[in-house]
Amino acid sequence: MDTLVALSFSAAAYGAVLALAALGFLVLYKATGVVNFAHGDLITLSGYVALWFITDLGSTPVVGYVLAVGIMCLIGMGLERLAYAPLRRRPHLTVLIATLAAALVIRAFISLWQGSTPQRLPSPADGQVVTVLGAPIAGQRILILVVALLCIAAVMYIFGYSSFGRQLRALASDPETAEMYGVRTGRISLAAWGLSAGLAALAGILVAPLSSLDLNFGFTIMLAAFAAAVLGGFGNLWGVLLGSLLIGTIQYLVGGYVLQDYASILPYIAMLAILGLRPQGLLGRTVVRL
Amino acid sequence: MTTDRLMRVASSVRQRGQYTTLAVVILLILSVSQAVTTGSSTNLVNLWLVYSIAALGFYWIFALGGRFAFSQTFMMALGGYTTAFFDRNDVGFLGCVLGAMVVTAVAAFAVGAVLWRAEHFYFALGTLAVTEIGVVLFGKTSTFTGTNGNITGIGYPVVFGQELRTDGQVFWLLAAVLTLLLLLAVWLKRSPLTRDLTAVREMPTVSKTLGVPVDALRMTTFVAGSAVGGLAGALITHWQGFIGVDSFGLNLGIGLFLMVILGGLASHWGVLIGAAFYVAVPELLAGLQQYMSILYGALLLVVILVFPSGLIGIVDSLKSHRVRSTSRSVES
Repeated sequence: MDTLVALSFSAAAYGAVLALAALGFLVLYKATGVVNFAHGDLITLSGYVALWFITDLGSTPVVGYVLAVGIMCLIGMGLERLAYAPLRRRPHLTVLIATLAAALVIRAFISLWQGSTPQRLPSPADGQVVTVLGAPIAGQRILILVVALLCIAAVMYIFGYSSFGRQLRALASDPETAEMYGVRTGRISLAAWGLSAGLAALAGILVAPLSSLDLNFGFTIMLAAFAAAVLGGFGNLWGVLLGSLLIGTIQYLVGGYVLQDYASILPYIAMLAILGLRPQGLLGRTVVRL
Repeated sequence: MTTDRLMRVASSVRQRGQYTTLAVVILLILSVSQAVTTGSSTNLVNLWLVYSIAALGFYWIFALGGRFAFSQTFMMALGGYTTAFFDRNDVGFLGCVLGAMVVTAVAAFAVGAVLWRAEHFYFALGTLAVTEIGVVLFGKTSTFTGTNGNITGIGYPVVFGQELRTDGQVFWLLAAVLTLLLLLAVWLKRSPLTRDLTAVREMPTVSKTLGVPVDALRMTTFVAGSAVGGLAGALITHWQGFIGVDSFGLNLGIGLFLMVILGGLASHWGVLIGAAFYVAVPELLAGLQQYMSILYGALLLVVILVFPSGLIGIVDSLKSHRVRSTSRSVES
């Protein structure tokens, strides 16, 4: 029973992180039609930026986190200007390659800046343990759940009810018509890149204290988030939340009890199964844009 | 003259000169091999050839088939492990390599069958998942892949009873295999199959209505390209006598992609240029090793922005420039 509770919390916390990461690249995908392969490296970078603020500049963890998220938003916008804006009218494949190139550059930059030895990001919840139903749960997991749920709610609100969200959805369903009706695509795409990178940063910073930061840290999260997005039907925001939760459950509950050695590949197997059997995702609405 | 016509002239020049180009390429490879004498550069020449083989397979999948397969390094690793497995069970070199190709072809067929409905990005994602699964499985299944995925002491290549022990000897084997594959590529280029493949790549739905077997063609390019990847993996494994999980990581996957893009999607000859670049540049810039990834990333951006047809495209535009100026002088 204790194990079950502990594993459920792990699954939920991991699912929440994946949801943040997946929402990040989906916002971008909706606004611009681009799947950003640099998303994983943005997640990694955010961990290192937070680490830099905390260890090198001596700020408290929370301040460091907030600053890092802000910086990452700016970096996202910079990336838009540098790697996306010049390519806006090019075919999708070209843009995809450009994001791969950006990923290479970001990764190389991190390894030059911080080296490749794994590091650990401090957290305000370090060492704190909450007992739930008799099972000890790391404080960080509770923190992840609370912050992630708040942020997901905020993103869902922005997406569903704000003017920005409406314009974004208009762009997602028909870019030409949206443009004709005066949606400022340039501005929206800049904001979407900023929001996307900010969400990547949140995901990275929240989960980094639970494991170690290295160059592949964000890549793994990005792949699992891709799996979650595919499970939910790519482009469907509610589906992604469901998919993230499922991936968390598969990895921690199934992986925790049955296939311990192979837990890390279970999300990929789930993704392959979905791609083979039901490419439109579990919720079954296709949004074809790629 | 419009760029469109320029392209047509350029491609016709390339089409006509296929065999000449092949001869020139072989001569070039041979002269390079004769020019280098030190051990490390022979090693690099071999690496160039074997990466060219793997990249040629990737070219078939990516440029002809229009599918972005992240699984090429997985196929190389699978080829390597299969050949090592057969080698341990006392199968001869030729049997090992053929077995590796068959196993990778079957694996590619299975992956292709699972992902048969997956288009573009989803195919890339699915094959990326396959690669990640492969990395974990290769690291953990010790009966097939050795302890922690490392196998040493794999037999040297043996051709016609002759054991190829040095880099210089292996070179001839690699050069022969590459030549055969390039010949195959030339035939493929000149066959009507290329036209069908272009149709499938550019407008799959239309081709389907016109009776082009879209699914079968896609599957064929994927299986053939992957089998060539398996061949490259098997050859590397026998040549180096060693295979490890890290031998065929994601970096090489991106590297193969770089080779094809840098060389140019328009022609299989670009693969050779791309692979040469990928092998030579880190060597030439030995002091700047840690900046390599930045250079690659920047280069990738520049190439797709400025020379969308790759390095071979530069050659083409120079060539067609000459064609244009001569035709002008004839006119005047």
